[in-house]
Amino acid sequence: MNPDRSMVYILDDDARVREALVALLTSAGYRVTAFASAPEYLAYTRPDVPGCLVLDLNMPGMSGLELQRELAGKHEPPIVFLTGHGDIPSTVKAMKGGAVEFLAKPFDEDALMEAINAAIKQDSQAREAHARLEAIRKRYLSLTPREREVLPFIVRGFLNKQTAGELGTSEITIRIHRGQIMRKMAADSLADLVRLAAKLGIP
Amino acid sequence: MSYSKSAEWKQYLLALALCLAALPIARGLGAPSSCFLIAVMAVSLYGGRRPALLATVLNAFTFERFFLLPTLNLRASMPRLAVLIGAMLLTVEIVEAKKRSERARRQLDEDFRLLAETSPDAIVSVNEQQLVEFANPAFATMFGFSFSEVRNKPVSLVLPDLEPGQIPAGEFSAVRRNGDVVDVEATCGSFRTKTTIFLRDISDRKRIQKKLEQSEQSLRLILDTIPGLVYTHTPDGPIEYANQRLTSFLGNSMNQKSADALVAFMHPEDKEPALEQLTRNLTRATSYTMEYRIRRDDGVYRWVQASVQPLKDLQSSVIRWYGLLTDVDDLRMMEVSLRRTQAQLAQSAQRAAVSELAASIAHEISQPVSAMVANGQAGLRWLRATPLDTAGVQAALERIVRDGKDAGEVITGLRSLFRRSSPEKKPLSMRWIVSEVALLARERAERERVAFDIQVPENLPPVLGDRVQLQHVLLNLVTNAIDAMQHTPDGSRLLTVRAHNEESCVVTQVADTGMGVVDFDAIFDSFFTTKDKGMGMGLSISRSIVEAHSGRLWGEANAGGGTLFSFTVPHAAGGDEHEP
Repeated sequence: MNPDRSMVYILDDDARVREALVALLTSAGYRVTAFASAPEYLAYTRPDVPGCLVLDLNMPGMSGLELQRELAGKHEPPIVFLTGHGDIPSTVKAMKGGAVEFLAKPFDEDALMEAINAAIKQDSQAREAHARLEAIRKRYLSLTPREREVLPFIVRGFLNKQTAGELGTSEITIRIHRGQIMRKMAADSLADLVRLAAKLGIP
Repeated sequence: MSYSKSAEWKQYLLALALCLAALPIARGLGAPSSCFLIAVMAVSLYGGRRPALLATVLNAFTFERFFLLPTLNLRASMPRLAVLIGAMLLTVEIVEAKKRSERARRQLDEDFRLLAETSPDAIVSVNEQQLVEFANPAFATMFGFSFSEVRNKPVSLVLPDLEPGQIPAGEFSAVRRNGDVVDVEATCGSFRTKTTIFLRDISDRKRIQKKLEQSEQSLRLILDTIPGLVYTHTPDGPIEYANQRLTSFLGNSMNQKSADALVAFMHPEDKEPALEQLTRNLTRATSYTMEYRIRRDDGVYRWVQASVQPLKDLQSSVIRWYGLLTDVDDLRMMEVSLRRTQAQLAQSAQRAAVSELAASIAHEISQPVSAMVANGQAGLRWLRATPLDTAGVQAALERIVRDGKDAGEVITGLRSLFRRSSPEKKPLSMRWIVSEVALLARERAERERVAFDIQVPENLPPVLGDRVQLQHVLLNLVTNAIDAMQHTPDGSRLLTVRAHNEESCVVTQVADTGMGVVDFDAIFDSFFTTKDKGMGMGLSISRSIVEAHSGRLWGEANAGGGTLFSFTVPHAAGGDEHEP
């Protein structure tokens, strides 16, 4: 884990806690940005680096859980919850919503660091996977419409002849398309192409 | 007997004719006496008495004139003539007597016929074989058989239930010609071998009787099936009627129907007041309701509610009392448990509120404490860092100090919430405390329409206590009392504050006429409350204040309904100077 390439976002309405967290995490070498409310955080444009959100559960206005729901499904950094008094239902909700950790105040330094590191690691992995997928998708988008039509037949194991029959064209044309597809998708073998196609949800 | 003139004349003519006819016959036969006697007899039979006498005279004359010789030799002929006349007169009288008796017999027959024909009852006479010899028209209408149809038939034709040889008497089911059954009442008289049977149609009476029986039965059924215990008793007390439910409720011993039958079953504790109330109600002679416990057959005492109503005659004196007992035991138990549940519910709601409060207090404290911990850890890291970041350490320490003060303030605030500093005891006048509290509570009492009664003697010895704390206790009790009377009807809300002296202490009492208290132990628990808003701390704090004064605080049921709270505060030993 390289803290230099990551960011920790702190969201707590209590200035005392916010300041203390900033101080603690800064002293531990993290890059930290703090926010006092959910809208403030939502309005912020994050740098494109792995991150983690340390989120207070009890806040006036939009609560931590509400923010979590709001962020769900987007490419957002994982959340570590902090709470003054955590009841079981909200803990369950937070963990079900995908929170990395749920820490009660006053929190243990090591537990906090551990949770933050785990969250950042999770985020960077997610980011890498996302980046890989994006690359494949970019390659896929470079295919011509006809090549995109042919691709599912290839990965399904159709012979060129069969594919030609299905699409009403000649075997030679299909062979040309196949070569183009392999090249554009940067696939070393048919197995490689099938793997790439599976990541894109094809067939 | 009356005859018309012409008939009489004809009879006389008949007498004359017969006498004239008798003359030649007597001459021819040579037996004059017999002929004349026959003639007189015939006249007497068909003509009557007077023509017969005329015939007698005529015959006597004819006899003397034509058959006795010499003529008018009376001495010689007199005996024969006299015998003849005597015989003729005797004949006339015999015939006349015979006719009279015949007439009388006929009259009797006529009377009987009339009687039999006009009788609304069927009359039938039978012989010893019970074969019908006579039946009147009512019999025909009653059974549809004419006399000729039943003549010499057995009477069992219409009275199938009649045993052979039995003389019918009492009620029978008779059968009509068309097969209908008719209820009859039979009476009969026997003369030698004949029996006359009188049959009266009693089917209407029977029907009414049956109807009455049915309605009585259905009434009884109603009384036995309604879920209540029903009884009636006379003004003197003895139970006249008790429905099935009541008798099975009380069991076999119910059989004794003495004046105080019900009282005998009452709970020993209820007996005396119930009897007293009962006597009062009975003399007042109006309907009443009362509740008491009564022993069921299985020995369990059940609460019943009695509703009793008198039936009066025109002089409005009571003829009978009608009572309905309803078993309200389950209801009562339910009420009690409901009240307890409500109290528990209120308490748990209170506890929930308190736990919420505790959570928010925890939050208030945990925020600065977390900040302090995090700042401390940051400070430590900076101390370990190379080069040493003194500015960072200083900033962290400043924040720790600031947050620590914050937390301290929260705690101070909390303490003021539940302040319980030790009392500053001084000799005090309880009367003064009462009057101060009364001043504070008077306005609220007036607003809630609670009558405020204060009974504190002037010569109470001073007590040793903290004036503010004792005022707090008394004010709490007074406020509770006013709150407890929220549901008491207007006009019955009475708040009484009394104080009296005892050996070593002054007892102060606060009584209300409110809803009362179910559990006198629970009310002193922390967080126990029956109020919608309230922490349930009042009595708990009050008790600890009183105990800190070496006194006692307790609650009990008020004699007039509601609750009575009392607390003691010990005398200020020897101190007779007190404030103010």
